[in-house]
Amino acid sequence: MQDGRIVIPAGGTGPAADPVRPIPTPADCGTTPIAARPAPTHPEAPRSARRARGAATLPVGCGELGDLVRTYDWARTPLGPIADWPQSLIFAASTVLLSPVPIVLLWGADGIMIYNDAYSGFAGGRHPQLLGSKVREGWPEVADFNDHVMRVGLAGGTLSYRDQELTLHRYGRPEQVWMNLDYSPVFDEDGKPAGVIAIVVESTERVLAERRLRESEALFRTLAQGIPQLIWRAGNDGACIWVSPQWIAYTGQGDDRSLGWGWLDAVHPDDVATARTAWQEAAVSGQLSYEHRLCSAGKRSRWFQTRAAPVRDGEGRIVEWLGTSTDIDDLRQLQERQQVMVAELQHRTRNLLGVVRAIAKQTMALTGPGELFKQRFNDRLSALSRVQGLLSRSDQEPITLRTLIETELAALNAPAAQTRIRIAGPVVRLRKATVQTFALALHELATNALKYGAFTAPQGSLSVTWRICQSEEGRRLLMDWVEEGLVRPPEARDPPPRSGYGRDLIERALPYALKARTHYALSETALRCTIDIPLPEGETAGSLP
Amino acid sequence: MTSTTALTGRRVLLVEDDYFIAIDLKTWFEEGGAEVLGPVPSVDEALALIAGTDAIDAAVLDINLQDELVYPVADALRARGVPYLFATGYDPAAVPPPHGAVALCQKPIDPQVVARALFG
Repeated sequence: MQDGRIVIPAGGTGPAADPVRPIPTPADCGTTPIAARPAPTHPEAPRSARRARGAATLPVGCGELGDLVRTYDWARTPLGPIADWPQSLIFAASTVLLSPVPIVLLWGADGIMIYNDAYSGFAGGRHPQLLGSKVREGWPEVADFNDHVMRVGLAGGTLSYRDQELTLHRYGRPEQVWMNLDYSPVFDEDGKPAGVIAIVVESTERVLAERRLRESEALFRTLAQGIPQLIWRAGNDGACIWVSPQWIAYTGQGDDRSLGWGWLDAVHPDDVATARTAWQEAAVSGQLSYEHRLCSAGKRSRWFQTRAAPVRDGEGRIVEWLGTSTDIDDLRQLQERQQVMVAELQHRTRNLLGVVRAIAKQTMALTGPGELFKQRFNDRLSALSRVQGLLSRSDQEPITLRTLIETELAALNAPAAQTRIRIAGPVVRLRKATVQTFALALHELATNALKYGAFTAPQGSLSVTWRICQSEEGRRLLMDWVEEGLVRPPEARDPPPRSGYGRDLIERALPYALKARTHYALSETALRCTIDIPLPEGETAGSLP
Repeated sequence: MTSTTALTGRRVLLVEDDYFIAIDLKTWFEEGGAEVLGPVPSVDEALALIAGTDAIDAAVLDINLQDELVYPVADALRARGVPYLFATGYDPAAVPPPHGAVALCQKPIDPQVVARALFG
């Protein structure tokens, strides 16, 4: 009988091998041998084990390779004709040919190759020349590897490799492949290793798929960690199962505290209900999108927009959610500021229309309808328009008293007059609310200087100076508008033209709107106008321009 | 011009920080026969005026007085049962409740509308 240590295939029973027999799956994927046991010692095999040569034959069938093996001219090989093959070789070859798994039998010291249909597919362009060749010559590119296999196998040892990387030339060009390789010895009738059975399962596709998966996961991680959004995964009910490092960095919540419903602790208390409602609705609608505040580690909370897409299984059920939370705090602040600005602009515009109507009415009360009205009203509208220009730029360019004075004097469009003007004082930033009335008063002073004052006299001069004073009432701004060298024309003496609108504005409008104290004194040769207004903190820039 | 005659003898408080608009309103109310209290440009002055005046028939309040809001004045008037309306450049939507319930005239205001709103 057979030596109990040698597994003999159930060959000879016909080709109907069970095709669904389970294939053992490797437990390990290393590329070094995972099992290499020393050669078992074989006691002298009983003589009776030797059979007459050729007594056993290859089973019928065994696929294409079965036919090829039967018809192959083995006499050319060290194996000799099939009829002379030892029974051990016949059994081993039968086992190989009947197996649905790619197997090659390497027989004798040269490893003459006998393989099955499954292996021929693996051999690619090398088949069918490979049949009957020496393994070293059949696979020259991995000759060293196979030398080792033959050495170990013929010494009775086994080898096993998982995902062994090899470069093969199956189609005339180098090709990187991965293999699960299992080698075990086959014993002859004397119990000596006579060949090696090699189970060769290519794992290239799986290895590459796993590599692609790893790369894809790395790509996702890079993306997930590189984008500014906080990324997370949650179960179908909203219980968190993963958060990106950005979430941890922003909220200060570790993995342990953010998972499950822990993430709700980072949501602003006032927005927790919103979050819960959004998740309840998401279960129905399959969409999640809501805005909420998120508390940051040690800092103020910021507004976020949270959105998620459902991940569904084959039947369309939501398995989990992949979501992002985007910081929209700056955007919201900008929107709020814009709303305020639009409201302010509307307020200013409507107010301005009221002012224009009032100025028209008040101007007409003094001039009556006609050319003079047109002139005065247009002048005042221009002054209003200039101050609107300053106001519209005031966020970027705060309005200073000097700017206001220079703007009005420049608008006189009297270049010759400009050389007789002196302007001096510290930097004073004016509140927006005070600018318009102040500008209109300055406009009246400047217009009067041009028409009746300093700029009508050859020796006339204008000095506008100001200083900041601390008094018991707080800080105040004191401005002096002084015109000297006046020559008052006789016709102007009665009635004095300067007791009109401009003076009224200074003596009434400034006290009313700016809580100013004003003093207006006109002599034969000089005009002195003093404006004294409260100057709350924040209305000076401190340094000189 | 029935609304104008409705002003005759009425004592109307005006709170408006802009001098030009304040004078315009004052002139108009006076031309209609009303007696104008103020105008005053600030909350403090308005509250002082209210406290020192026995009879006030109505008030017209600008909402934004330079850097303060007129609402304390509105509260004081409501406490005394004095009808008032807001004259403002803001949208009605920008006026917060409970003041939002009070009549609101958008600037530039139409005196006829003001008179009708206050005295029917």
